[in-house]
Amino acid sequence: MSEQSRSPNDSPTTEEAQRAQFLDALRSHELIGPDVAIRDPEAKAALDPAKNYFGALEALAGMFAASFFCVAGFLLTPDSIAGQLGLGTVWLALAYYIYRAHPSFAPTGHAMSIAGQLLVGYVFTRLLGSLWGIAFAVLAMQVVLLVLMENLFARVLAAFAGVVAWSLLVRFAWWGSDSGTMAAALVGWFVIWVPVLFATQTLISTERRWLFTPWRPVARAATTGMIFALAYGTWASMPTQLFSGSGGDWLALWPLLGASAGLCGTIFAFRLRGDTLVIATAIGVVAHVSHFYYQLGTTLLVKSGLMLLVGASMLAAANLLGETAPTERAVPPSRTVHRRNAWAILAAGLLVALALNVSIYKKEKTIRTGEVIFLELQPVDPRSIMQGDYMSLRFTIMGRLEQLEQERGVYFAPLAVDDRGVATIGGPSETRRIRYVIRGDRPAEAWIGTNAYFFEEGKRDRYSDARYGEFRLDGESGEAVLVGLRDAELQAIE
Amino acid sequence: MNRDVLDELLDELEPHLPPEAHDEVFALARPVRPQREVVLFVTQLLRLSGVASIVAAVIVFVAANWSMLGVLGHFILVQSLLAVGIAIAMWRPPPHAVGGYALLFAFFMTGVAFALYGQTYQTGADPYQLFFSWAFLGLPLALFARWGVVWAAWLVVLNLGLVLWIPPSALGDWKELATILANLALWLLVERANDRFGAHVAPKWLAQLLLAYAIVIGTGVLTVAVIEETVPPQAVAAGVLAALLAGFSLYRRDLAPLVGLACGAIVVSTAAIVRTLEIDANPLTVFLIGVWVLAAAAVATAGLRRLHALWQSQSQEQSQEQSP
Repeated sequence: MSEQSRSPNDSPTTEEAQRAQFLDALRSHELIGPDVAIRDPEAKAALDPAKNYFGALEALAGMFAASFFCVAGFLLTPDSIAGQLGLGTVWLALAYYIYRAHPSFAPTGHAMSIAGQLLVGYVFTRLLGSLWGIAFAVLAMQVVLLVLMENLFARVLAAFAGVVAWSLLVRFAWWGSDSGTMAAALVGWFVIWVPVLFATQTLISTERRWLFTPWRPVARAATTGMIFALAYGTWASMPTQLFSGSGGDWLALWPLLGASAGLCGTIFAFRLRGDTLVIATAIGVVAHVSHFYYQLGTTLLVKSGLMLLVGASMLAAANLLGETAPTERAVPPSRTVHRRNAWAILAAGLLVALALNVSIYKKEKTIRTGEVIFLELQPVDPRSIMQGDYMSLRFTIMGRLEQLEQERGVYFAPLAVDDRGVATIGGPSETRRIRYVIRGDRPAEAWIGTNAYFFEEGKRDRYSDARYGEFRLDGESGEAVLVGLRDAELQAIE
Repeated sequence: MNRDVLDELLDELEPHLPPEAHDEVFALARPVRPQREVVLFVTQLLRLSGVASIVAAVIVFVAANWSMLGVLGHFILVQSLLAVGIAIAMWRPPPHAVGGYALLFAFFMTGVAFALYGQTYQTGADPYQLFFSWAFLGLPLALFARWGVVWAAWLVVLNLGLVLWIPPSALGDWKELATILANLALWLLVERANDRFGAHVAPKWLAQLLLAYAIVIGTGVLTVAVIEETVPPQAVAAGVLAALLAGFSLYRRDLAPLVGLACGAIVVSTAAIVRTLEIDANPLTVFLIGVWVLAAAAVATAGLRRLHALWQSQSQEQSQEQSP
């Protein structure tokens, strides 16, 4: 490739290399003279990749210090609206001055700016009666900060907070803090986020128009802040029931809207070559999908079907697009390497299957041949990370076991079993032994086989009468496997 | 081109650029990725999201604990899906992209299979053994995938196991130290793999996340020790580890760990000041603590900038000496 036709992006390895390539390209196209070079030491320092580390350190320190400044401000002016407004405004003015006149003191500017915004925002909550009015005032403040504060971090923060305030403004002006009707909430969501998507897309596609104008820093920060808001700001337009996980049926699907907006943010971030922003927005998408899993309401089976449909649609769409996209990672291995890799993968898969099925066999053996015993229990019911709904269990004998042993380790306790099969801790002469583990030092916590009983979703009421856990006790190992729950009369709960 | 570079260059070059040259400068800078690259990225994103959605569908289905399917039915379904992932990966092994996606799917099916095992045989909710077994048996799959995304998933699983392993009353325990050491060791491994195999197999962001996570936990251990006014051996060990990491980073001329350690040091020292002064509701004292944070950050940044400049000048001298 000749120097004339070489683009600065052909080998974008380091920022230094990009700078050199870009300058070369400008010179070769005779857009700048051969003598033009970067001479300003500050500009040179800004091109150093290490500046990102220093920028992160300064931003974190600024936010950390802001928390102290904010508390100090509230302590100084506990009840005075005028005092809080005055102090907040002074801090914002100082932040403006620092960013403008002493950019190397940016962390102090961050601290003053954030603390000032919190104080002024608090004054809004005291002065204005309506939630939408407060949101509107905060939005106006963020627009002013976006324009005035001559610092990238401060402007990105203002753009992000501005979008969040915008979403709260529409939400509180329209359907309030609860969900209202599904139609209103859904339409409201689109009214909030479609303009943000459109504005982000417009800023990216019109970059040429603002790149060479004084508005460049504002537009740049606004783009980044809006992309970040697409990934994380959508939480602000979420009906409040979802924060407690108690949304109605259709509300459980709401987080998928946030995940979709986050995916759009990821694509925008990629278009802008923002690698860190791509990762940050992708984490936001994962957070929305996790929220979706934990939402009660729509059944897990419906959610599963929906995710399957979404996944299949995405793969189909990828295949359609794939026809026009170049091959990814297309370094074909040799036939020998291909075969070796395939066998190695098969071995890894067989290892998983072997470990799993041997474990299944052992449990099944205990269930088939173990002695039936019952242990008294105390129930509650949350949801596991990957295993669904369950009743949290604590057996009555655990308290006794925790008195017997305090140190961590594996122990065996004698069991006395009455005529009904109900087991309690017995004397040393008992022949049956149950294996248990002491975990946690302060206090000691006993563990007998499990701390939970998993059941099919939607059947929690059925287990409210559970009083005993039904176990199979392996006579040799002392291992107890929970197989079911029983009521006070020891009747099985199916 | 990176926007920071472009903006800084334009600040410098704008006086030399006539308005009629703007279009050409913009075309040369290419600040927005070309359509071809975006289409490729969207394709990859759709594939990854599609696989992730199907994985989520299987996880949610297993979590539903649907009794109609029965124990055998559940196990046959999950193991069949695992087999499908393995079969596709054998058909198009990595570095082919399809093999990578298939192994990512198989890795998650391994976890789902162990979750199902725990659910069926009532082995307890979210036991750390589930995640450790998954990380252990999924390790070969991550190795063969040779893809940063699978490694990221594997590291999340391992760290979930470590987090669940740590009991709530954690200070009197050595498990945080094990977590810190594990993440530091993995950080070094990923860095090494990055040098040797490139960013696709071991991306830099993965190394930095591991490092940040280790430093955050270490900072937490030391902060709790400071607030509780105790000096448990674990806190001393965390301090020694931080010093060793600082020494190692100085030796390697690696700025990232030093910046992380500086952040941790600011948090711990601030906690120490808050504890020592036994802060009451005095606004001046609280304000001065904020000033301390800023001063400490300024000193740390200035010191690290100097160090970085020194390393750069030494590196330039070395390259000049080596050049003929």
